[in-house]
Amino acid sequence: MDILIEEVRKVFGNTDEGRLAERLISAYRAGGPSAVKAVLVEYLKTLGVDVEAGED
Amino acid sequence: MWRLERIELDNFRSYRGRHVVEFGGVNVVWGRIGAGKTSLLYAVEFALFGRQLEVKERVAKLMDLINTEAQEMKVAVTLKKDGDVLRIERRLSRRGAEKVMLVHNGVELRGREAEERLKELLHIDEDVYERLIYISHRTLEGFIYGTTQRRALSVDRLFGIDIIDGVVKTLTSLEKELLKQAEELRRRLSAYEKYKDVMRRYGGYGGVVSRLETVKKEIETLKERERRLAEEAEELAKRRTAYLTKLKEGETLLMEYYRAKSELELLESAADGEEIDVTVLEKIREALREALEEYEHMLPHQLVERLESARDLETLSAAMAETYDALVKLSKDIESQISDTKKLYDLYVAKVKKIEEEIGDAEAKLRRLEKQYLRFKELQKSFQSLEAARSALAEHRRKLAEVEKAVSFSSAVRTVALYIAETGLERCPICSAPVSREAAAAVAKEVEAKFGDLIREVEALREKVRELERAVEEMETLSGDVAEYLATKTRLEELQLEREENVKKALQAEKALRQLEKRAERLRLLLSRIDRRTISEAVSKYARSLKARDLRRRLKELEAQLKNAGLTDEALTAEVRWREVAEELEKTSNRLAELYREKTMLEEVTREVGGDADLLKKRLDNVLYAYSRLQEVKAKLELVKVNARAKLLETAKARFNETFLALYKYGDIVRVNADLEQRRGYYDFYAVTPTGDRYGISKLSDGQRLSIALALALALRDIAKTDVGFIMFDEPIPYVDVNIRNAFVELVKTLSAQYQIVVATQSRDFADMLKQAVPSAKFFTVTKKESSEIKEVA
Repeated sequence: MDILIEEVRKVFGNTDEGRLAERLISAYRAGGPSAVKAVLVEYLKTLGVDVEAGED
Repeated sequence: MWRLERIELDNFRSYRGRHVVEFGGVNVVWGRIGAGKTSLLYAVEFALFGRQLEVKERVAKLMDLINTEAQEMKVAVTLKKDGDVLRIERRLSRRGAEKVMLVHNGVELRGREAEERLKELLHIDEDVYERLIYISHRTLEGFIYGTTQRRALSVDRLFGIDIIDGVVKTLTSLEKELLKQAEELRRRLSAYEKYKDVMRRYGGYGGVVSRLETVKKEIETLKERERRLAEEAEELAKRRTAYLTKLKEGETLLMEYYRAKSELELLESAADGEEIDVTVLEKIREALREALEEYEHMLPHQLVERLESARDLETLSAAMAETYDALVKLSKDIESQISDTKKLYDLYVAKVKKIEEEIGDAEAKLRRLEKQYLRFKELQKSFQSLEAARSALAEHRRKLAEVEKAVSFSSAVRTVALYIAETGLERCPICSAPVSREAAAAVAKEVEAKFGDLIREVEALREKVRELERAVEEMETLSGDVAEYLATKTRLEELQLEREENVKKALQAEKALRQLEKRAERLRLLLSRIDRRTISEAVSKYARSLKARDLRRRLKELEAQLKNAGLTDEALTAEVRWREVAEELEKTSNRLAELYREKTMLEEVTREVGGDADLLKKRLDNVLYAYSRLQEVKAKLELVKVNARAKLLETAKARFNETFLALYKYGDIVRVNADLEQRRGYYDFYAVTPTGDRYGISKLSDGQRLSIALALALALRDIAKTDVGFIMFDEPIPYVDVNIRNAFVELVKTLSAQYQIVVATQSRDFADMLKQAVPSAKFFTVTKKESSEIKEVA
């Protein structure tokens, strides 16, 4: 079991933020900061906030 | 474990053309900065994962891996494990085509199958590879020389927890973005407050935007109009020069002509193009006069006289207004009368209805009592009246009493005698004297002969008395109903009379109502055609018409005078047009200036505000909420990081100590360990001496720290259970003193017993030290002119 993901589940519990944190970690592993940003931009959209998904 | 046998490069990064490198157990790659050492190491990562760290971190693009002079590149890596041979070949073209081919013990796989088999064979992912196989100075330097915080970052990298820092960094950058947005929205809201009056005037932000569009369009139209007018004015000015002298001579006449013409135009434009009908006023006067005549009995007499005798517009206007007011008042009076009459009519109708209900009740009652009444009447026929019946009864009773008294003994004897005769008794039932049937029959016969008539009279009287008693009783019973019947009948007659009277009154009221409504309707019709405004308009139109007639006459006179002064119709027309155009041009320019000012103001508002207040507030709320969510996520991720550090440390502890002791053989340290600081959650590494003394990392030498860092990396590598048997050190310890270099060389020597080692360095001294320490090591030099070149030095 992935220790980071396991700790995320412990700290966040079964929440939307917990699922977001898991996605952020997976995204970072797969695509670095830009992938994380893409996930966050999408999450912020669900909160009604538009942030440009440009390069850092 | 898999070891690197061979790398083949074709146009990879700085390596133009084909290059092949055969690896040994320990490999030293030396070359100056930028020669191509790191490219060689990156080639391995690319071959294994189809990407490499710089591409992943967006420092470089995948296409940058192709040599600048080439259209396609290829990397092939051959690995060996015991008897197994694995060859991975990847190709990449500038058109974006990526191909992978894997040959494992002669079996060829491509694409997804190849990738999956590769993962199965190596037991490693890209992340672990970048942390624990490919070790650069970033990892080791931070551990050896860094502060507690920097050391924590280095260990985090080894543990793979630095991902959290990467995520938090991105979160922080987005938080900043959100704060910027919040600030911007607050500024816009404050601008909205500043321009509140403007918003109110235009009906909100939407109204401002819409007005701005309209203003822009209007400006375009007016600019075009201004251009056309300017052209026409220029043309007219040229024509005007021909008769300018004459214009100056006839200036006074001309001025009067302009004034009259302008005044006439004003009058005509006020008439809005329609021909002024002077008979309208007369028609109104006639209608008012007719109305006065019709309602003369309801209006003051002097009104007609005033209307008739008015000789000037002012008097006529006043008389008409007065008449109109009187008619309006009359109309209101009639309406009020209608209302009163209607109420009266309703009252009578209601009364009739009520009376009819009462009549209905009375008739029903009569029908119910009729039978009793008729019976009483029938009894009356026989007995005249109740009183008469009562007296007859009394009389008959008295008579009966008298006759009964006279005949009672005889009647009793007769009865007893008849009884004995019939029954045959031998003794008298009264006195018990002996008696015979025959004697009894004889007695009965005797009594019958003497008192028979009287006895029958008694019986007849009794019958009569009974009859009279029944009649009296019945009449007494019926007398109440009869009295009620008679009273109801009288009431019915009264009600019928009352109904007739009220019906008559209702009809009269209805008739009056119809008459009043007709009057009111006629008056309403008149007043709908005429009101104060129509009277005033008719009067003013009439006045304008008179004025216009005078002005036209004067204009004709002036035109004739101007013609005599040498100013032709054409010149006058041109001059008039020139003045019109000049005036129009000025108006257009003024309007344009106004619109430009408005446009500037509206643009400023839209730029500064950029949305409706409610929308801006909602957006601000969303941004602040999102900010708070991100902060919460960030705070929790920090907690995750500390927890993960503790957990990973716990997992790695035993293996870490074991690995360290295998690497470090000087005996002055018998144990190494690490805990987590309680306060900040940083790593607290320490070593224990044979005497049991405990030394924190800051008290250890650089070489000891290097050993600890490598031991930790190797311990984690073991825990990760990877099947990759090589370690790549990319410039692991640049700019360090000789002691550390010595320590590192010793470590490599020890490690080489277990792992295949590749060390890339720019330091020739360091490279030589490695070669001397491990004489069997392969030594490669990397140089670069047009292309990177790698050669093994014997």
